[in-house]
Amino acid sequence: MNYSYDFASIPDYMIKIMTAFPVTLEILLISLLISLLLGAAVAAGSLGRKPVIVAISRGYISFMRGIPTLVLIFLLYLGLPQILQGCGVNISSWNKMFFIIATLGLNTSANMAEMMRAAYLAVDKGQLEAAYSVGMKGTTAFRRIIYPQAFGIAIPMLGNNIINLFKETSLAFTVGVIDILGKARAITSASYGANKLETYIATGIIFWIVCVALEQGSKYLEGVYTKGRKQAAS
Amino acid sequence: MEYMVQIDHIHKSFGDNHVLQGVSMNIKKGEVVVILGPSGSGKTTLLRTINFLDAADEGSITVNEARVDAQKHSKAQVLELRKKTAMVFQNYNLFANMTILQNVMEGLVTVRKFKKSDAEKMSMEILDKVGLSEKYHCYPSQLSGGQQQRAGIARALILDPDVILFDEPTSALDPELVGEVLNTIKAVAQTGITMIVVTHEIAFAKEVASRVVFMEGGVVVEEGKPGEILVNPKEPRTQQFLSRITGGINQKSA
Repeated sequence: MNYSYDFASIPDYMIKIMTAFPVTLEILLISLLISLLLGAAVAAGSLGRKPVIVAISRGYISFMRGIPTLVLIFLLYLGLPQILQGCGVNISSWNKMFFIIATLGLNTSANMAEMMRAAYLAVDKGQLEAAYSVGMKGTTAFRRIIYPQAFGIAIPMLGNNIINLFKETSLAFTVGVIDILGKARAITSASYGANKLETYIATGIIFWIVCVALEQGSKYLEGVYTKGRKQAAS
Repeated sequence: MEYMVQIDHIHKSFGDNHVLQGVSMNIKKGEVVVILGPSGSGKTTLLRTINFLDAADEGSITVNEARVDAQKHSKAQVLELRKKTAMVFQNYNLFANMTILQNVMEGLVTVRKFKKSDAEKMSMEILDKVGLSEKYHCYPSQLSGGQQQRAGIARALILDPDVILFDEPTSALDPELVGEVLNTIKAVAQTGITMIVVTHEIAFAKEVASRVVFMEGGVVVEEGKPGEILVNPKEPRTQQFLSRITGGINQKSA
């Protein structure tokens, strides 16, 4: 068999693959939003005073961090419809995007919760007492004093979590969603696999470029946000 | 009511540790009360129960007619009490995400609902008084301990509280920075504001206090004018404590 590689065609493949970028972006943004909201709730629960809620939150975090994303996808995409069918609910016609977004949202929410918990605990709580001493309510103190500092502390970890989430969007192809990777697979299938190498190199480069951009964005944000008080966080 | 601060039979335990065992004290407007005592005597805890940073288990606190009962009170009552008090902390506890100016303004703007421009002007005036004119826009981490503590004092003063609580304000400072902070506190005392100060600075107590309270084991052992308590203490426990403290100073200078 004659192998002929045409690396000059990689940019063309990148352009073709990028037509699926909006789908990847949609998965990323919606699951990011879900993971942040859910993560905040779980973090609040794990930091709370009610032992039952603390235990549930910790259990949730432990489970979601311990289970591979692909397993969770199969659980939701293949397992959940079975259970619901037993209850007389048919979800087999639901959009496949639902399953991938739900999976990534749930899975990432555990990492987000851990990030938020750690960042919250890293803020010196003497400042909370000072806030109370000037007459602030707990919610005001959190909004004005604790949250802004915790956010600054969390930025690098937030960047990491977003990068991981972005890479995991590539699992969307397993349920048949045409994201970047799904598109790449479609392209190779159309040419009977002749351009596999070029296509996947193009796919890898796209992921890499976006990750570098996210990383730089995170560093920039951290620099801007903690300007003038870098030492305060240490 | 003739008293500015009324501390009425305050009890407080942390687990099995009964830190405050029924402390009562009445403080008139303009008094400067210095609380002395060995560590673990409950003096800092007493101070913290006055603005409910540590909620007492029994008893009640009244500051300028805002009364909070330890066993039966609402959040609103505690907020009201806190608005009548201000506190200066051992570790300054400045808001690290804000400049010195913003630190001082914060209470005025978010709690007292002052206009930002007014709050800024007032805060600058107070910062000038504590000698931080050059440091408006510095973050706490960029200041020395003494400067941070003076900013902490400004943050308390700006709220025009009925009573200021000082929790060992010089204990965390390098020795050469203690003087500047004590001088600032003395200047505050001369304005006639009611103050309760927990400290180990005997010389400062002698000079500034209108009353000295000696605590040990969660109770008030002895109280009176600084001339009496610090010079001729009646109680043996007070005598021991004072000789230990002054002895320590003598050893250092020897």
